[in-house]
Amino acid sequence: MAERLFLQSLISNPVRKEVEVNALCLGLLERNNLPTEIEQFFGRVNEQLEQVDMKLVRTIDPNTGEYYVVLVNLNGDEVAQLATQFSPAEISFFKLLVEEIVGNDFQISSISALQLCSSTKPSLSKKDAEAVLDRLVADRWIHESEGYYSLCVRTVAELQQYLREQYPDVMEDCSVCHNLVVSRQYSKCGSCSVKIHELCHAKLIHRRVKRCPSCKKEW
Amino acid sequence: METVQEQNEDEEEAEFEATQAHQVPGTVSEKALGSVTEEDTQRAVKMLVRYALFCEHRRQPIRRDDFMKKIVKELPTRAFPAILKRANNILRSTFGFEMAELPVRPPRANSKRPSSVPTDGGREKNSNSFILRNVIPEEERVDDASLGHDAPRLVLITVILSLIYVSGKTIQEEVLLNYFSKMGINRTTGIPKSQVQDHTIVDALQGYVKDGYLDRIKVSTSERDVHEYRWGPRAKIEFPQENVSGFIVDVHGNEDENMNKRMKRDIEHLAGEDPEL
Repeated sequence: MAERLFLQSLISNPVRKEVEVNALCLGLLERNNLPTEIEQFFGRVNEQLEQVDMKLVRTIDPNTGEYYVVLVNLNGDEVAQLATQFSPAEISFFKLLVEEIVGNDFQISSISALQLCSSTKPSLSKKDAEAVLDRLVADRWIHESEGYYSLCVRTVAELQQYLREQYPDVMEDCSVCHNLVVSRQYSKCGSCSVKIHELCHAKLIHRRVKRCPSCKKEW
Repeated sequence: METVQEQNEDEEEAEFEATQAHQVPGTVSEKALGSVTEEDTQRAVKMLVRYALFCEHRRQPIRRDDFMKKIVKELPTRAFPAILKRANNILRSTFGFEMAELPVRPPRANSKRPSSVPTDGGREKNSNSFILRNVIPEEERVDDASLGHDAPRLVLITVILSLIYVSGKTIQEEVLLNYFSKMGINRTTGIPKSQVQDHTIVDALQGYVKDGYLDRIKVSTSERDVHEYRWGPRAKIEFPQENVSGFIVDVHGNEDENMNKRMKRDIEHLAGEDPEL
């Protein structure tokens, strides 16, 4: 029962802050007189989701460092493509947008983003492109800040595989949390060049760790 | 006392009748799978569960024909009932949902007939169009504020369905739009469609008809043609009519139980639901 109610909540809103999700889990477990073991609960939920090619993943918002839980679709099959909320033109726009963002060190201006509408197949009007950008931000695929767009939680959660395959030279994991580094907020180790999210780095400093987690030399 | 031969004949007859029925659960639909492999069936079942979840996310009905022709092209349409049954098992046990068939839209109705009376001479019995329904009883559900990006539309349709209910389950388009202009919403006012988009009340009504929440019916009176709105097939599944009067009393009633009871009775009377007529 608890697992089903949990999934119903996640289906209507699949991108959630981890703290919110944990609170929801605990509430459900208590109401059903179950031991409040969140990890086990997640495990049971994922077992069930496996049969339908979906998964609950923990990931990090590349822009704020907050932990999120996302219900992702593991399979880019005809079902997912037929039934997404975006038209083929809009999906083409999104792919171009991701390409531009990744190619420009993870950030592009809103003006450049809008101009992409002329390259989509089939074409998209500027007005529609604006609407798509708003929806992408609302659904957490991209993040907007001070006139610039960057990748957001959902893209990281759902498209990790796609990003790694399409852009192998640019995609690197943060050596602390092992999620992809997909924003400009990162630091690099002077000795071995591994990347760390700025926020992950801040956590290391807070714990007084002064050595690179990868090469162990002083940061 | 029947002879063995007569008994066998009876059994055969019963089995024959069973195979002729359309919606008999159990072995009949599974037999229709016939030559389809177990592996293909399982794959199709998984696709249907995912398809159902995705369609529901887009507030679109799940159409058997779309699914069979575009997604599991290699399987015959008669395999659908078996696939549906298994998919529903997974939907129920994992998510607490089930696919419910939408009632067929009634043909253009006589203006005097309330929509609760079934129209006769039904052509097809099956619409083969489904939506997801929550099977977890209300008392057990979580009070979860996350209705998602669709929240404004869901809130608005609840209000419209209630208005239609107390107007005798049908309302003229002009009357409905008039209620809205009294609230300051005219045909061009922008109202929220989602968290990031606005649209007009006319767009909203069109959207609801498309989604199956409302039916818009042309009614010819002696003077002119008017349009009326009634509860659509999706609304009848998602909002059990018994709950509507309870909902209105919750909003407008108070602690006085007697007053609430009277209000509930009055609302049901307005809707034409008089138990002892």
